[in-house]
Amino acid sequence: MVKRVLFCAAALQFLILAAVIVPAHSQSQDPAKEELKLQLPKPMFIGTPRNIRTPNLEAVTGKPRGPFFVPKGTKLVSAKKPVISSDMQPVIGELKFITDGEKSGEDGYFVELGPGKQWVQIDLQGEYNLAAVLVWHYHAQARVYRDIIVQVSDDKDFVTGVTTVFNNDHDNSSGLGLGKDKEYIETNEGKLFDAKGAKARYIRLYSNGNTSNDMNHCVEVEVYGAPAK
Amino acid sequence: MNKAVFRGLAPLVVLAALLFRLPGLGLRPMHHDEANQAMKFGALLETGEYRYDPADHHGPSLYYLTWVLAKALGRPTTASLDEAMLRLLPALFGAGTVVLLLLFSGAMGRAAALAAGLLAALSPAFTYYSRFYIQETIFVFFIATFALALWKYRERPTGTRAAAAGLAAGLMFATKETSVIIFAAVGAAVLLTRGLNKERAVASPAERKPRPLRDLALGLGPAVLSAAVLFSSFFRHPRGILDAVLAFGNYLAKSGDPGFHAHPIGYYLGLLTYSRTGGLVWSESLILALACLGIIAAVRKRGEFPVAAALASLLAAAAFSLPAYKTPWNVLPFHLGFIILAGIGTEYLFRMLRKAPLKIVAGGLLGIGLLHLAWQSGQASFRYSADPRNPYVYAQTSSDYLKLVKRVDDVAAVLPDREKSLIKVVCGLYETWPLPWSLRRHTRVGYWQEAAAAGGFEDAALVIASEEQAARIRPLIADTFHEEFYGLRPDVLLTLFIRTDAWERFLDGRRR
Repeated sequence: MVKRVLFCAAALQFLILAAVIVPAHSQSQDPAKEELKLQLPKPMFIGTPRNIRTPNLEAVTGKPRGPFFVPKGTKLVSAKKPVISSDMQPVIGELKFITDGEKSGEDGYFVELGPGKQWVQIDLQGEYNLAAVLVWHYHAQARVYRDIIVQVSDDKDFVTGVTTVFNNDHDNSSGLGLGKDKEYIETNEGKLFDAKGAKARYIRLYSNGNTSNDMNHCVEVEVYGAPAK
Repeated sequence: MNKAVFRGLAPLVVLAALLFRLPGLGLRPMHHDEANQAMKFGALLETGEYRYDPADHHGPSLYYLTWVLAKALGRPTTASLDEAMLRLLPALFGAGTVVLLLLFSGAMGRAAALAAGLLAALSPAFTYYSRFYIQETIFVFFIATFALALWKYRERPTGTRAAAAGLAAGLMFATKETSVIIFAAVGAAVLLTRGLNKERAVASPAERKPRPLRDLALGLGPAVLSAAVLFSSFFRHPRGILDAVLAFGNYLAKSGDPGFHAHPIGYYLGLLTYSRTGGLVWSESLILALACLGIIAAVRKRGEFPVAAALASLLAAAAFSLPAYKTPWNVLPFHLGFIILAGIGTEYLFRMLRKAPLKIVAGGLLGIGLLHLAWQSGQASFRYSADPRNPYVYAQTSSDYLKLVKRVDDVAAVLPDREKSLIKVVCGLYETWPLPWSLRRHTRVGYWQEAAAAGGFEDAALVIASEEQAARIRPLIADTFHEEFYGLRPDVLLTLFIRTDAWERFLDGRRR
């Protein structure tokens, strides 16, 4: 009887372990994919920022983000690429900071756009199949940026061929459609958006103030992809 | 500077003061203290009831002056008030202080008075708090009135001038308890200046002999009467007069136990000298540098007014800096002295520079410095008016909070009961304000500090809760409410629960 119980417990443990390990393992086993290697800036605040637990906010786990797998040959394609914005005369910083590779949370590394709804737009200067967009708005302090919308397109004016990669504007206050994605707290890990291979030349990122002030900030945007065939 | 030039430039200085003080007064969300005082005033407006609170909220002058303004503008109820109307009062008193500084031309010369007026008009600290519904700007106005009346009395000691100084002193006291620091600093400065002048045997500018006893009585009478009238709510609550004295015990205890408001001794000087946060740099060093020149001028020339102004300013700055309890708006009373000294310093600078090219260079640099002050005032008062990177922002309600208020208003607007819809607020005391002000047009709002005391939530269309209370409410309401969160202050969040049917109605309106 004791042996049976021990056998059942061991089998259950094995099943639980398999359930946890296999999905990640099978993803990494896809021969067409490889892990996206990211370089993260040092954290600027310690521990879980706030005890916020609401259905509209991603749970703060305090653990590092797991690996993200992308098609082989995927590269950083946004480095030093030109950036434009709805606020072309920022009071703090310059738009070129967004693609300069510097991701520190300290002063002097972010650009500050005016209050209310604003966007930044990166021109990749060619068509790419996009795998991921990694964004740091501001990570010196725990805060949530409002109405984050990430769109990609072949049209620099974002009139046609627009694909929405992420949208957490749950009340459509930005007027670009209701978003179902959750809000999240900025950290030094940045926020990784799965672009799911969308083909585009331009990436536009919207925000609408944050929980600390009405301004919009961007430290860095990294776009990963491969040239479109 | 001749009289015609002074008269031509003085209105421009006042115009500059108004330009930085009047526009966009409603932009910034109400600060906890502003909202508190606004609701206290609302009670006075609607019921005629006011009682001086010796524990908090400072003197009564703010409320009675607002009453006059509200009556003049035809605002009979709390609901008819708004941020811009309330802040118009300190804005006008802020501009009034600039006018008073121009009237100091007899004491320090026209160029110095004009420079002091312009620096006050453009000072970010003066501008920012002129747009803030608290006592400080009104207090500074009465300090300037008191100093001017004292000087006028010194020039020509008449009973009227003594009474004017007394009235200003009474109003200072009825505005802020810290007036005693100013009385002590001014008294010590006057005595020390007399001592210094005795050594140098400088003749008194007075043409008439003072009659000390008569003038003391004429001064004390209006001082005591004005303070007594206001503290006793026009003698309806005589206890207020006693409370005004007993209040010093409370404020002394507060300064000994500063809590959140403990700051180092150099806090005020640091605030004015240089502040750098989050990519923004702030400095009123120009005013401080010119004030240092003013002190040098006072020491070298031993003019009675500059010496007294220098001593009073430095003594007041020291007295405000010594206690650990500090709030940034307390910088204003002695910064007024620094600005007067800066005016004297500006005039001294140009007198010292004899060669025209040097004067042109100094004028150019001063112009750049003034433009920088003006730019900072614009940034502090408008773009960064609620941003914690602005050094004058202190425990300020975040701009994100305005989105919560708008959401509540928008959702209530689509409900059948509209502003009569039931709203439950479950927050601790420090998270409750400025909600009572923001929700003043909603007629069914209840406030609790504990979720358990709120008596169920199914009947409420909206529930606003602090983080701690939201965690307790969440299991009680299951999935019957849509949930959002908003920044109240940095690191303080409020959760807004919107009953699902109300949220659906709201979204339907958005979809149409």
